[in-house]
Amino acid sequence: MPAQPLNNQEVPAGLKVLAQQLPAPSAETLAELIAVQPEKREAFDAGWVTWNTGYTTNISTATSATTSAWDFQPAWGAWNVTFTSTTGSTMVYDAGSNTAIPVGGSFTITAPQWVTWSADYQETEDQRAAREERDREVRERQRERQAEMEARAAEQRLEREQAESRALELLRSLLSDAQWASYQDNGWFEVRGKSGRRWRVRNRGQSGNVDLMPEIGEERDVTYCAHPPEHLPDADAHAAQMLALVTDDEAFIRTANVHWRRRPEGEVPPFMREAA
Amino acid sequence: MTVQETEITVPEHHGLMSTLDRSGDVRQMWDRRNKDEVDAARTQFEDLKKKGYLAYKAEGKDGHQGEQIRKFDPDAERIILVKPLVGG
Repeated sequence: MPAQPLNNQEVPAGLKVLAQQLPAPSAETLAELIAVQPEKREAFDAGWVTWNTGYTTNISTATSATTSAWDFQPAWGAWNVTFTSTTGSTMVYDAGSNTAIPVGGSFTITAPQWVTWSADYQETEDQRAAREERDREVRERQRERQAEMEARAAEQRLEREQAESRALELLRSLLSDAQWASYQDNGWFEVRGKSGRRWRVRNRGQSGNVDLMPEIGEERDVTYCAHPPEHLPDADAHAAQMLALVTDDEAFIRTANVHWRRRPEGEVPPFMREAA
Repeated sequence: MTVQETEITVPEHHGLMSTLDRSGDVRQMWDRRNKDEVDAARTQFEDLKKKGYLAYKAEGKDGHQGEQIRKFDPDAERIILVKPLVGG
């Protein structure tokens, strides 16, 4: 059994999962693998990554168990997936031809060799300590990122609150005391448009919040939607709507979309006309 | 809804220009007796007009006044600049 300095952190996740599902390799299998290329033992001991990097194969011949002549080409992934261990056979390394030759017994495919071989590896104390240190660093970085995100969120929340406060201050400076009181108490204020129409600006977001009101009564006639293009604080949008109405409510109507319109009294909706 | 009762006050001989933006608004005040301040405010006004802002002149606080202006008026008590509304 070779030393087992495998750094598990470097094993591709997919292969690790697969390896866990496979039976552990026998000592014979490992010995066979070492026997394939004894001069690579040092690299073998240095870890499977190094070992695999040193190993090479030729896939086209590697799958042929009978000819058993594979060249060593750089392709550890392909080699390990393609090659399978044998039950009852022995692989020997022929230094002259630089090939590995399985001899004896039947050649039974069992499992991808590398995966089987890797399954038996365990991290050493040093590796475990190094992994735990890396994990600690990762957790620390995550904590730092989390703290940064929370600080940024708090900063943005504060900026929003300050913006809303400034916007309310500006709206307050434009409204009469009665309008301001209504805005606070009822959630809307009313203005006279340049045309003389009665408008109600509701503090309900900034979309579809402007009502055209009848001269007498509290039931709206039409609800319009027109607002500043940038996402301003609501009170700023209400100030902009108010200024647009008092200076040119005809232009406001041309710009706005109708969100709702009261049907004239007695009018039957189209879908009810046919039924009637 | 409860709002702190802070007042925007414009000192005598001064004008205040408010540009509405995501921060609430950016305020620039000028002293009508100070040519440099008036020029700076005019430059700011003209820059924003070029960017498509609409300018409103507001006097007092009765909530029904307002006049759209196209040129900087150094004698205005309040000028409010905002991008034109869009249909929603």
